Amino acid sequence: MNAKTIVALLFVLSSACSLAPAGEVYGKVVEGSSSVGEAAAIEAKCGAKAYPAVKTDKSGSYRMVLAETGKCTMTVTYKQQSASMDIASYDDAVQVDLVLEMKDGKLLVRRK
Amino acid sequence: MTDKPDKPKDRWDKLAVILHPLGGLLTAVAVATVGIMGSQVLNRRQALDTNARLYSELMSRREESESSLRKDMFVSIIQSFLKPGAGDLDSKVLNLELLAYNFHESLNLKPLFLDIARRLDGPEVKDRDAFRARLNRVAREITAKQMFALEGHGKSFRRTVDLEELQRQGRSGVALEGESIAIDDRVCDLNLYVLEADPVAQQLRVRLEVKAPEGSENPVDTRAVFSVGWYDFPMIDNTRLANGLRCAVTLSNFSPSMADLTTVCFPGEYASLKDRPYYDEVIQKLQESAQE
Repeated sequence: MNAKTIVALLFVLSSACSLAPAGEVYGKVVEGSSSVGEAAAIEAKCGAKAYPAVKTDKSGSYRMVLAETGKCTMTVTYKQQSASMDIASYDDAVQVDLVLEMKDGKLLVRRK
Repeated sequence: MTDKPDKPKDRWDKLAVILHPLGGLLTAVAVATVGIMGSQVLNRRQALDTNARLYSELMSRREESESSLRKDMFVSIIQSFLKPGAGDLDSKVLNLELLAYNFHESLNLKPLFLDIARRLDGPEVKDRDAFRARLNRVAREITAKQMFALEGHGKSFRRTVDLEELQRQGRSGVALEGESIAIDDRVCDLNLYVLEADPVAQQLRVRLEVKAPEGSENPVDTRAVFSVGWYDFPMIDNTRLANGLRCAVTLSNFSPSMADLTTVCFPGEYASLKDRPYYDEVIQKLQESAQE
């Protein structure tokens, strides 16, 4: 094994170590007290990395895996409107249940 | 006295001759039927009573033998913690795992978890990180199990704490978004304030304020300050409210910059086995059920 290969291997290893392990974000989206069903879409942005929207299932549940840990922004799209809120992504899974409200025709989101 | 010639018997007289003994027979049959049916009902009830008694005897015997087994198990495990210097760290962690999985609903195991955590901080401890990971995994599993049970009977909400913002705010702490909780006909407004964070011990000092809604019959407010870490289990470590509810705050995630707290409120009946209801609460419940 020559010096170049060792340097390349060390570079690959150090890059792998510096990557934060994946963090799962999951939860349920409700409007008032009733489930939104499949009508909502959730997308996330952590730093510069944006994650494509995932649709909620029949029960209004969603699940997404974020590669980064730390502060992220979650955007919910529902009835042609969008609302955002800050969340935290961890090494372990985190439950983020969302409550949607329509106020003065504007979509609001808060964590339950 | 004059002898009257016998009146000729009409059809009613003839019917009476036949029905008279038949009436007696029918009475006898009716009495016998009632007797047989009554005795059958009594026998059935007796059999049900016997079955119920047998079932309760079996259950109480099973309960007794299980209690005795649990008692023996508890005594032998707890001795390993109380004897000074007894056992190595590996066996202590194993014993704590046994205690936690078997007695997490009836004992506050936080002191034992903290004791083991302190021992792990000592010098010359091999595999410190592996032991700490085991401790934290057990604690998180127990909390998750209890939360799952309590959320089925109560209400919960989750909040994220920005630890960098908390550091900037200093002693004034950080207020988290409040939540209004309604369980049956009991409503209360909850507010959480995070006062301090200990990143090494992964603990937060929080203040829980519970306010009764305006105009309620029982406007008693509750305010409690406590620490929340991985070893605080919601069934055991909770705050008793004036309306009979219990509220517990648990740590669900912790990182150097953020932490997630889950607050669950539930009826007092689902608190741990060691948590006994107040007498006035019991009497109040009995009165309410009598009124219904």
